[in-house]
Amino acid sequence: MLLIIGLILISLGLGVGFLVAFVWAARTGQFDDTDTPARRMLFDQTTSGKKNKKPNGF
Amino acid sequence: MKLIETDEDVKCFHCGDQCHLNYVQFDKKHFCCLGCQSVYQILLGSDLVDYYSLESTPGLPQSSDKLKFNYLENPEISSQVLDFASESLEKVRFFIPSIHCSSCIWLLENLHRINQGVLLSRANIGEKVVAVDYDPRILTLSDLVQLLVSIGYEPVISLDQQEAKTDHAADRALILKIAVAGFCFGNIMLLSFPDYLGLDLRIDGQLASWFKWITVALSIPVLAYCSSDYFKSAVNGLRQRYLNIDVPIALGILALAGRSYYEIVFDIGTGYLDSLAGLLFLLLIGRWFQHRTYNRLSFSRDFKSYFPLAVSKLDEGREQSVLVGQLQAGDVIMIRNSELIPADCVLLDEIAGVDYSFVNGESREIARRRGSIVFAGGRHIGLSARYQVQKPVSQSYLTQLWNHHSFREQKHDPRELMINSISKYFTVVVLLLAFSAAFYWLFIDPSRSVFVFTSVLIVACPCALAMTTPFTLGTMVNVFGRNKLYLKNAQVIDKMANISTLVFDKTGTLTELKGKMVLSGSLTADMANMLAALAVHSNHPVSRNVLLLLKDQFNLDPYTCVVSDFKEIPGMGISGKVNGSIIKLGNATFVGTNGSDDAGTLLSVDGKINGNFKYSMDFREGLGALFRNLTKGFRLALLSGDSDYQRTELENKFPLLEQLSFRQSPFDKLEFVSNLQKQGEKVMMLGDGLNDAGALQQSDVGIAVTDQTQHFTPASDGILHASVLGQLPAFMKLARCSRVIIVSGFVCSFLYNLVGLAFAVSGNLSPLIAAVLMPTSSISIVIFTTMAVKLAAVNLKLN
Repeated sequence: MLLIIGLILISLGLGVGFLVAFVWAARTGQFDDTDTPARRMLFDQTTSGKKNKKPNGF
Repeated sequence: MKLIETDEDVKCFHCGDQCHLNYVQFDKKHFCCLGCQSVYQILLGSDLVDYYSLESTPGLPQSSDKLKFNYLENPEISSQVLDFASESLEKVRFFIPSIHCSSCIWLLENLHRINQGVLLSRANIGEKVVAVDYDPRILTLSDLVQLLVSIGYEPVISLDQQEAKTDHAADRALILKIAVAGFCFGNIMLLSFPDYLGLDLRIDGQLASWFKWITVALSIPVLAYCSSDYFKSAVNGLRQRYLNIDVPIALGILALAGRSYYEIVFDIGTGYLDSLAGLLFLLLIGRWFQHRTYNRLSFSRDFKSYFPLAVSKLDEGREQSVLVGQLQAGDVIMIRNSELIPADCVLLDEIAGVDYSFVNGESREIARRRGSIVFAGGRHIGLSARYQVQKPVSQSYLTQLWNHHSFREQKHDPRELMINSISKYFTVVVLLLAFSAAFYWLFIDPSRSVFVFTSVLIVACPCALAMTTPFTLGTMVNVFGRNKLYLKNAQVIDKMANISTLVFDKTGTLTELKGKMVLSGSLTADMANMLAALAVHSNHPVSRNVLLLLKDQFNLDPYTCVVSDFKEIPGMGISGKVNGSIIKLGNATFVGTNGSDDAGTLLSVDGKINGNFKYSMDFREGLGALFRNLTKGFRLALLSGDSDYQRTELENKFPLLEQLSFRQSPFDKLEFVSNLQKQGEKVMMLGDGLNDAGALQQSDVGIAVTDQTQHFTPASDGILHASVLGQLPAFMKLARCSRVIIVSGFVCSFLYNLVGLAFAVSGNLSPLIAAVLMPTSSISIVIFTTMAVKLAAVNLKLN
């Protein structure tokens, strides 16, 4: 029986962990903008400077 | 760089616009104007031409008049605009309406390659905001803004940026509440499974009590955190002595929690905590659904968001930037080309052009001479001029409107909403029912009386009732939004359903400026050639539109003409010697006549007036059908600030209009609406300019009509894209449907309640029945209302 109570507490703890993670993420504004990062990741990482002007062909 | 003479079908490399007669070629690419070309040049210089490879023609057409941002040097203003300031780092967030594609993000996040003073820039495409960190020792705030303007991203700077941030906080709080409620709901349900399955945990009493106490622990955040809004709102309502919809909800929550805790503490049963958490989870989702609005559209602008933040004041010959609010009568201010005049002023210099399009939607330049009074809201055109302030900004002609009492009253009294008027009766009936059931059981089995009383409250708790409105209206707001009518909030729909009279503003609302010129007077082909040869040299929109018109009407070959002595005087006109004759194109003073102010752009050849060009003001398409459709359900009226020269034309064209009024000042419009309201009409006003602001505010529903939703809309309840004006009858019908849908939702939920009440009154409400009944009723109501709205929209041929 003690085992079951322990397991329940562990499962609750896991749930609370994810809840806290979500609260933290929402509070730091990670859900404020879901559109821009999706577009940003498609940009080529060319550093500034004339040498890298032409991206390598695909 | 050179000007090109041909006029094939060429698209601008920067903005994709059609290139006209005087387009620009640079770096083997075509540009429609110097503005677009200069943006390209800047990007080329900073090795940022990848901008053009991410999306084709990502730029927006460049306007020729750029505003000055010198006032940002004023520390009082910059401190209000900046988010953070220190000696080596300043942070600022700009709202830039023209952000629209991946290229925009890429360019705005690479600002540091154009200017080293920029340390970091992050764009947000959803909110159209770019956040910039920069080093104030290298780059000043006004230089940064100037930099953004030079690459075609002009920020809109206003001092109420604080507002947007608090909105964010409220959104987040709601999402967190939903997360907590959902978490508790799920876990309480899991721990209630033995109950649902009817397992007898009493074999091991300890396990059962552990389960119960954990659910109690899980219910505390639900009660203390998630439901706080409902308690607050209910208490507020009671304080103002009326029963809003949150009163029965709060009662239900309290009954659920109280009964459950009582059962658990005295070990009588397992309580209804799963129902409590589920109820809040669904209620909060409904609230979130209803609250998602268009937070990047501004619905509550007052004059402060339109007028410049600061102007140059002349103090003993020295120019000094002062806040607009600090201007005193008698101050002398310096206004530059295309700046707004912030207060009622007298012109001190010889002549100036003033364009009141901002106020009345009519783009027409009016010449003003020394000593004449210029009202606030006009845009100064021409060389810089000095004005003397007559009245402080807050008392000027236009801003007086905002001091009118209609702006101070809260526009939407929640008491008037249908849901709240129904909830009043609902609460009374439920309380009566609960008391009489308790009273009845008092005679039969006094020990169960309290249980029956709470059971009735729990079941009748209008969870379904409270879902009907948010989901109906929330879905409807989305449908409207997809069809380009953006509403401030869902309550507006409830108001729209009641409207009996529609009042239209004429200029800018029913008419549109097409950017096309009309020529009056006759031109010979030779003269047209000569004029075109002259106009090619000017980049001013008027010159370009004159060229377009000439191109349409004549077979032009301007390059046979020889132009010399070309001169362009901003705000006045252009002149030059073509094939020996002196040609002037400009306003009345420039060409040297005493013509009236609304003569448009005049053409003179060798001192003789030969004709004039005017922008044509056309009625939008489909207005006849629009009025025909609307007249079936509404009284229609039209207001105009213009003189009544179009009266007969309007009367012939739109015979269905009941009332036509001309020469209406902003105050007259407001009075007109309020008189209608005194006759018991519910008025919806459709307008566009600042001069409609009073009427929009006074009306029951004020809708701003605009061609560009991100620009220049006065405070309103909704913003309608001008292209869908013809859909207005469908919008009104859909709004009226909302009532039918809500009422049928009420009927459904009432039926559910009847079933539940039958259990409750007979004293048989088990936690299992409650757990099944409450979510089922809520979810089926949600499905019913959203589907009904979508069906209604399809029927009305809306997207």
